[in-house]
Amino acid sequence: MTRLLRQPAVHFVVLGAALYAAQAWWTPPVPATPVPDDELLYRAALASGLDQRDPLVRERLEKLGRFVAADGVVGEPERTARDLGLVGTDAVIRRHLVHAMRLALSAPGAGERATDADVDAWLAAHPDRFAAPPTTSLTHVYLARGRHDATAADAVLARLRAGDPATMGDAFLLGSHLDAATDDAIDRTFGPGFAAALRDAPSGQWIGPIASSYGMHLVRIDARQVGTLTPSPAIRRQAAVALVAERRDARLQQRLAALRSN
Amino acid sequence: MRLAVLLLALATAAFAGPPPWQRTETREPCAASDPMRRPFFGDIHVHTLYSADAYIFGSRVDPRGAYDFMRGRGTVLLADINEAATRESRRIDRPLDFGAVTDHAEFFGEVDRCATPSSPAFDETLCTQLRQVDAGTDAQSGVTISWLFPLGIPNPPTQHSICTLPGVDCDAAAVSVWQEEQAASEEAYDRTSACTFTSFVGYEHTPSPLGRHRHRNVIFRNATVPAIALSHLDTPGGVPQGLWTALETQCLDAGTGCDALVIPHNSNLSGGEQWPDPADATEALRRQAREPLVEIFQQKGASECRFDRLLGRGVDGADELCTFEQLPNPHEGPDAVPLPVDTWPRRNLVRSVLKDGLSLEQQLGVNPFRLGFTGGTDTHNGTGGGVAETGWDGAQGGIDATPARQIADNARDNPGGLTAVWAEENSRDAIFSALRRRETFATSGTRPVVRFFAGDLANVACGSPDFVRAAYTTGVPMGGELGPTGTAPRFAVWAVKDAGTAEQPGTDLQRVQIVKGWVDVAGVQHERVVDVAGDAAAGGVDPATCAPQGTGFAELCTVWEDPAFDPREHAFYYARVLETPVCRWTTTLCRSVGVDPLAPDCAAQAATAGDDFASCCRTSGDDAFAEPLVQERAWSSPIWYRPDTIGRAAAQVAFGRPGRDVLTLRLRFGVTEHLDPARDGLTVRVSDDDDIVAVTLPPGTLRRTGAGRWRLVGKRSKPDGIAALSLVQRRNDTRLVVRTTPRDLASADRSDHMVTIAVGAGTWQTSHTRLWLASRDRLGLARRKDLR
Repeated sequence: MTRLLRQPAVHFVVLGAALYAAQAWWTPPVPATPVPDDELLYRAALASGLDQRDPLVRERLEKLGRFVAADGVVGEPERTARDLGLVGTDAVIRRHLVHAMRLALSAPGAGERATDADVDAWLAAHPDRFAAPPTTSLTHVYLARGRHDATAADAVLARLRAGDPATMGDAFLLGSHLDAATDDAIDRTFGPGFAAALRDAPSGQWIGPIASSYGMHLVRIDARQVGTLTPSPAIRRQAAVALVAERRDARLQQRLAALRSN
Repeated sequence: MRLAVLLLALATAAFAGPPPWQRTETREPCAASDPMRRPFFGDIHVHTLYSADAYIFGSRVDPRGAYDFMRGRGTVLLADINEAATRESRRIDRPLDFGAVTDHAEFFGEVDRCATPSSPAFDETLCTQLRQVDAGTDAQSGVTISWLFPLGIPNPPTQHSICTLPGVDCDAAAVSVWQEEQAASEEAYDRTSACTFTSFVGYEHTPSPLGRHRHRNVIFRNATVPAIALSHLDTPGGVPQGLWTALETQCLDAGTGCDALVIPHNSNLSGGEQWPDPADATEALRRQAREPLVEIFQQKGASECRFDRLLGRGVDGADELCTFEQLPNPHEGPDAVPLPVDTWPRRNLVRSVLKDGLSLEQQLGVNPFRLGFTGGTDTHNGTGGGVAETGWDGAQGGIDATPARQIADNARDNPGGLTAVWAEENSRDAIFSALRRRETFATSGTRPVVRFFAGDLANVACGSPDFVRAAYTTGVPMGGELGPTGTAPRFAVWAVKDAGTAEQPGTDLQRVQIVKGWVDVAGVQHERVVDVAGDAAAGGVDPATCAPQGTGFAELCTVWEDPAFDPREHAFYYARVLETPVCRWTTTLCRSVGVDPLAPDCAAQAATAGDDFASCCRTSGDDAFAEPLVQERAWSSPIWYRPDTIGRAAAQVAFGRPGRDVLTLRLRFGVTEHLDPARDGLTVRVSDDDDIVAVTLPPGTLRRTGAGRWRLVGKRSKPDGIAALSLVQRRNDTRLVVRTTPRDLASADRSDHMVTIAVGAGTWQTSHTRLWLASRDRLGLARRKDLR
């Protein structure tokens, strides 16, 4: 014991503790602030005995204990290190315990796996997450910039409405049909505002002319598909991943709150 | 009217053939699918906080944030110069169709261990340096060098020393980062039938010997990827052979369904070392297979070509449009200095490399540098596809976070480019296959759309609604190869302007050029740039407002025939589409601080604004490359002419009674001096999404029946199902005839679709893909009567 009292490491710990205590004593009282998450997690780790079981902690304590032993301390190194309070004072051990506890608290309990019903419920609660957006299929007759005026466009429209096949007009690089295109895809094909101009157009009727970045277009909406959710196995897997992540975060917050109220 | 709709429906039904690729993943089919292919725009070069340099620069956007940005679903916070937190949030001006986060795979584990407070390494110097974002740009650059130092030396250590600390398992951390990258990509991938966005799993492989960038992006076809991101430090055995070997072992040949492409980039900073000569024809072929593409444009400049306007000459040519987006130094590192064009490393430049590829093909029979084009940002802010020229505010975290830093130190950078692909649908298999066959074009950031075909193209005419279908029927698209057809090949190019956005209308087109590179029979290289459509004087900029002045063209189309074509010469052709000029980002930014690069008294204005803004006033009169106005552009992947590949071809499957179908091929090649069936045997493969017929004849199977004449003789030598095969190698051409015995060829779908004929022997390999037409009793290449 006398030898132990001569160890610089012990002096360091004792003096450090004394200084810490003195500082705590001298510091004027401050309004109670919530305990930080990390401190809560650290305390929970000790309460659950994680520091006794975790191999990384034990290895580190062993190493620190040997370091002290090199200065002549006898006894089992890990025990020595624990006696010196290094579980609380060694930053590496402390951080590791906090991290491990965070993972432990996030982990699902028994019987908490996402079931098919859970995935269904989650998909229903997040309709926009995997729902296919509404799309439009259309046919158009293109009148290239500089080659036709508004009168000509009206004349073509009249002929289309009278039943002429949609083979008039100019060739359009991206073709005369667009299949199942989102509004975004329509605007990226023809230019901004094009999808908006079609929003209220009736299906099956030729309308226009609508201006694009390239000229004018006479358009017939062939079909509108409403946005639907079609939970294929691949999408269910994606949903399950998102569900698990969401639950993990919620569980951690819930358990931290429980620790805090204890 | 009803009849028209019905006919249309029938025409569409006839198209419902298989795409020319296999679906390797489980997903819903896309609601919109077009066998004649549609253009999709993407960015497959994006860094997030898991790239050590991005973290050092203060970027804190994670892969999920980057994908949200690319999809237009979220904003990202740009790194401030003083705080890891935020400068401002940014949203993409228009979403991308596809994208990949490609973080530097080196130091995944170290970055994670250094960024994680619970890690025992957290307080190590290396780690505090990583996180120290308020140190100023010089310090950040210094830290970057110390972090990335192992990438610049031979035989580097595989990890930083922090990984040897107790409790610091960098390998495990690297795996978890790699899994995080995969999870983020998976979450962003639209597996619904809407097919609004395709993400790829990818990473960057980053060797930089003495500052010479030999960087490559690895892009995986689907979710099956190696257990670790195979970084430069994990792949000894030479650059890039070590990477290829690792990918072959752990992905391509692993039998797991893993598939990958390697895309070199930034050769403008490679000191000429990005593409060394292959050791032999075998390595040349391996390179062609592993690396079908190059990123020709990105935030750190263009790699196409180089022209010094003050000297009036360029590297390997005199193309005046090659002043575009040039960096002064040919590499980075302590010995980096500007070099004149006369001593500039040729292989920094893709056009020169393409020409060297032709020369090597002339010698080896294989072109190792058959590179299609991609463009990317290389953003280190997680802002993939954030390429709008106006309002660009940097891409390297704190390094270029303020107007002063952008102009003073980074004025030669630019917002970066995009990759466009022609694919049937927006899914991983479709886009990956387009990348592999090089049916791609790169842009300097805008979104013009370009079609480019070569071949006989007898029935292809501008203005015809049948243009594309006809071109696929009688020619090959960008990225393909072409043999002698008996006449000079024709080139069809059709480009339309960027459709634009509400905030930024698309810029008109100015002209289309065809760039030809070739090697003559004496082995001398040449290049030529021809304006084939448009008007070099069209369009301009109002110097007072940067608004467009005059008009260009909404679209340009032409069918061009090369008047100087010589069937004996190896050549490549690519289309370059130029928009009318606009103000460069520097011009707009300089004006916002009161310095007008287009004003005569720019220097006086800069003196008032401060030293940082002096470079605003670089002009074309005193700087070899500075351009206050730029012409944004698109580059189609080249089409290669090879004298020894398939030129004219007749091919068909004649459908008979069940089990009695017959495939016949009559192929004509040019002079096949590298084809030796006695030494190498012969393989013939006809395929769409799967093999229709595949024959391998080992050496010695074909009997020599006369000078240059080979055929299958006797029943025993005939492989199963082959009735006849003859090969005639003549002084001017080579002919191959193959006929199967009557058999079941049900794998040949009875609809119009793309079919590939591939013929090879040893390292001599050829391939020819065209649209085959289906009728009641036949599927085949178009005959003369089909084209009427």
